[in-house]
Amino acid sequence: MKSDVQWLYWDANVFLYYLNGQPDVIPIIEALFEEVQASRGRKKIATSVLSKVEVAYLQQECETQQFQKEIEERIDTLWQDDSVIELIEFHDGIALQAREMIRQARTKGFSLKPADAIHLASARWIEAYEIHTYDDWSRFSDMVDCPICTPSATQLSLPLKTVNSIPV
Amino acid sequence: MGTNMMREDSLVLALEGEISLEAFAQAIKHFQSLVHALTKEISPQAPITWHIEDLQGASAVTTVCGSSSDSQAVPGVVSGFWVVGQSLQRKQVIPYSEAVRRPALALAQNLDNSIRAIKFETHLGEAVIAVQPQEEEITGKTFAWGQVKGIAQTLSSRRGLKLTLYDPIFDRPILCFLREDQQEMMRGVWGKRVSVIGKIGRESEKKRAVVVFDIQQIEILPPSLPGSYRQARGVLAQSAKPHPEKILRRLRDEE
Repeated sequence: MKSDVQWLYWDANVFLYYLNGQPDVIPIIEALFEEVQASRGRKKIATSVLSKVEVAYLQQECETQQFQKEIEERIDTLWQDDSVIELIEFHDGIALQAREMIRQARTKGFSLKPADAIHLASARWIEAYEIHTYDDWSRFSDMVDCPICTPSATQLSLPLKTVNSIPV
Repeated sequence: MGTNMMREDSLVLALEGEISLEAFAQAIKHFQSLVHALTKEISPQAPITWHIEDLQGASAVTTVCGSSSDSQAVPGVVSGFWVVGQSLQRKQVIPYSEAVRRPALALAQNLDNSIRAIKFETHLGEAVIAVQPQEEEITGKTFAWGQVKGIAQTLSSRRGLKLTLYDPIFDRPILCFLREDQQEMMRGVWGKRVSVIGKIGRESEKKRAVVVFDIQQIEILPPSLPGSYRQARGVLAQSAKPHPEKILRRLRDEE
């Protein structure tokens, strides 16, 4: 049953490592994608729609407009692939949760910024079993009731062959 | 009954829902007043006798048939009845006198927890005055404009136009209420992944989306090929900067 889906939450920076094609990280992310795909819907990656905007922030640094359009289309294939990813809409429930987290963090002497809070609240809303990020979110793990760690895969996939930097 | 199978001298009033005897009696009273007022207004010179042609208990369908010495009289009233139904459905002014408007509006106001929809049917077409969302569909929920995505599983025109989406996160149904004039939006969506933009009602505790009203748009989402995410791998390599988390941290920390 779909309601038994296990949700793995990814911060925007995990996607950015994948889009950057960083050689030391790609095999791990690729292996996680493949693990999710092989689970046939029992496991999925989730992220807030905010990730789309944060990715676009880096994407703007690309040179020409035509190049940007092509890049945009290829990035969209990532967001649209619902065999592995679901985007979490930002809504009132997540806003209230994020507000509460910001308040909690303050009482503990931390500063939790709105964008971080939206990601964490989204992960909590879907009851993610694990959150992956390359940022230092470890101090927030008790707010989300699940481990926060950098991506790691039990079975790493072989790197894909690339032609002119386009994976095939 | 399909409108193309209907006789040209017949009017049908169909009530949908769990109809109580009292609600049925009230509706029939208003129906009788409406037909009477329309007859007087449209055909004052040629009296029409309206008699029961058919009664179907299960869905409270009443068919009446008119007969008159003037061949133009009955078609005129049938057409007037159709216009009244359409005006109510579109929430437009009924283009007849107060004597016609009063019972017509009373009929429409009969919609409650018992009667969920009223259908005016003639050989010219049908008009449905749909129920407003039930109180339990509104109470205890928070509403905000937004978008929900899911697989369109059930389409229904009983008791108003409804589309049931199954959201991919919780696999729970989201009931989307459409207006009668939005029937076109439902075309071709069954079984497809769609996005619905409207006023989204969320349950109070878990804040899962459960209903959508005031729908502005239903869009069929393009199907994606499993594994197509790979096309995005390394796409930003040419402009790549190390440590995306540091760039995002700067962005998130900006005051």
